[in-house]
Amino acid sequence: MAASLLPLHGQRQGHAPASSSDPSASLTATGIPEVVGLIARHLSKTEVAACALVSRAWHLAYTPFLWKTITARIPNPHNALILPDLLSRFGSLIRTLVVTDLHEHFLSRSEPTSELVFDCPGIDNVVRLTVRTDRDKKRAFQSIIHRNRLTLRFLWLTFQVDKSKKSADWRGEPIMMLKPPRPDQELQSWLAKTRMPYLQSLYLEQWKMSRQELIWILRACPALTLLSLKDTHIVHEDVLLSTASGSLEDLDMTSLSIDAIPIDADTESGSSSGGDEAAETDIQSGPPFQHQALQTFRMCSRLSLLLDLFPNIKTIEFYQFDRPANELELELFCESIRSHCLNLTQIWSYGYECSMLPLVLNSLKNGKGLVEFRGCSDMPTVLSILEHARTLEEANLTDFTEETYLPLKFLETCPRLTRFYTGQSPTTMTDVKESVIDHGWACMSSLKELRLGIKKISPALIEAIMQDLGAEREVDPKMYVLKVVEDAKEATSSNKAPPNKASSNKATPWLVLQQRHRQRILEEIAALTPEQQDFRILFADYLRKLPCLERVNIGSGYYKIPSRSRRMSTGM
Amino acid sequence: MPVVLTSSDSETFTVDKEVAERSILIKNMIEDVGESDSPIPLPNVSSAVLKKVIEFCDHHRNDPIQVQDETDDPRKRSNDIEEWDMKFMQVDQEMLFEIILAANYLDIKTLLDVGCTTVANLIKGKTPEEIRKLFNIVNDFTPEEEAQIKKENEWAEDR
Repeated sequence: MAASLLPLHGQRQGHAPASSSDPSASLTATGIPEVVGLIARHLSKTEVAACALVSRAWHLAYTPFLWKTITARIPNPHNALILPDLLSRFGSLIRTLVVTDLHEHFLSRSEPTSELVFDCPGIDNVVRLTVRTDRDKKRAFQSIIHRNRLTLRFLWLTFQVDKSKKSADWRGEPIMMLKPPRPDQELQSWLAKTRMPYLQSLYLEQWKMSRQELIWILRACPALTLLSLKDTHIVHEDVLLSTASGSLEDLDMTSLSIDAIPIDADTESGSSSGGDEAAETDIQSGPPFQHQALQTFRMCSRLSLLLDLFPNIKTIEFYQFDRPANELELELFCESIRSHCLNLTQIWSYGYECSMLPLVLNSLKNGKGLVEFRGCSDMPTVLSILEHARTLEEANLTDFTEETYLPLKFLETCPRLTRFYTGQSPTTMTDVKESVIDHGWACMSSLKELRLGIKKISPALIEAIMQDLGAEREVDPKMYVLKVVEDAKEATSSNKAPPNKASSNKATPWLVLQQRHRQRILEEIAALTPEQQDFRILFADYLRKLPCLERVNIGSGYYKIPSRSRRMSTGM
Repeated sequence: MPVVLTSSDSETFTVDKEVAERSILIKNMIEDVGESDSPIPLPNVSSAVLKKVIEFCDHHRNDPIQVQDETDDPRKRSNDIEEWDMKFMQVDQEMLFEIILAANYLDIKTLLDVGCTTVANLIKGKTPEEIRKLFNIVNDFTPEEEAQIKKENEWAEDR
């Protein structure tokens, strides 16, 4: 890498700071990569490029930050010619590589090729790799992954599929992310050539693989904490091979730089009826494989029956589920939670479909119980969540498509609730009053953040309650800057000229509106009805009693509650 | 319990332990050596710089200690500097870099961040020639080299 940069004339700068006799501290600082990194992170790529052109020393210091993150787009014809050379010299500086839109990224070459310009030996230090690939470039990506396997921490692989050409029964593309071991190969010798020791997050989209293939991937990635499957079908060995047999080309791994295996070795190990067991017991006799590090398993649109592989899983995420799960699958899924996932405490569910959630939540009772829930929820789901009242610490039910049911029940019955967020809710002020007076909140001493939708509560009433609490509205920092600027402008120009001068800024009306709004709220607070005043006193008093409450939003944005000590001293 | 620090030019400074321990280097030294009256020598920091560093640490003595996070989260990468810090950093360039070097040596992350952000704000929007002028740097490239690098940078620049 250093050899590819221009040689640095004269001195090699050490890391020791300059003593006062040194001619220039700036020159010394430029020689410290940490310092240059802290400077470069505030600069745009153009600015980093300018720095790299300042001098030889700066070139050496700043070039790595120019190449650190590369998002590939179409190279223009001129650049396309020099790209292979550039990548071979600077490729090892790339830490984050995103190759998204395929057809633009390949060099047009005279002969047909499945090569990819990024499949070059120079690129061997990538930490985050995101690719969308199609069939003929698959092999190139396999070798990019293999080349960077010792540095990769984040890997997102999407098979690019043309929706219009996708047949109805298409179930993903065979992936072959890494080469499985030969039947007679020692596990250790296979791992030595395949291991991705630091990979933490793996996202697979639009692929098809056998369960055994996934197990090989998991074996090779011992540090994996997040696995996300989207439209990735885990199929029985035989099915995979029969569908893939038409395109054996794709399964051919011989182009990898690691020692080639004959294709029939693959077929052999897979097609024997007990493929799974044979491979598992051959290489390592003993209990079936389980991945110990995985904490988060994310599924999109369908359940994957893989939980028996993840005994230490903490979080299950459901994304884009749009139809009820198959009953049998759901039953098997829940059964494997009950028997394998005793540490499962968090369920996140984003999407419209939540019919599977009650059964899923119910199966958490075998383990530590539900601690955190996020996502959409219908009434049956809410009731199932509430069955975990004893353990629940966080619930985020701010879903825009549904109302949040029984929000007060959460506050009344969950003694460990720390963060609770509702969306729209049918809760009325009378409900809140009853809840506070008749039931009291079980989470009184733990609640830190609360977002509670209350029907028909007016902004003026909210403002009055927040005033009583001494709470401050949280401001978007950008708006705040704007406000300060406007305030200053106004202060200097308040006595002068008419406000609608041509030079006056667009933002001024915003300020005027804000002031008008504030004025109106003040007037409205003065005009609150006796019932509203009652509620104001009651609710402000109750919220004031919650010792840990930091942030609250009851309909008009978040307010920061002053710490308890300050609340005491301002008098209650 | 105060701590005594000695600068490269042998000036001694007596500071509160919690102020001195904003420097991870000093904190570790104290932990290793244990409570002691003997001064801690800082042969890499001059008295003028050390004075500034102590001023900074004293002002920030009650800040929560930043946990070492190597996240590359751009949202956390604010170009804003607190008003006090900005005033504190209004020093000549030589001093600015001396402070950065001292912060790096003493391992005071917040000071290093503020210093580097200040430098970045100076660089922002400038051409190579303007940067050279700003930091008094001699262009030691040959015209051919400069043209070649410019060409090479072009591709990576807009990725």
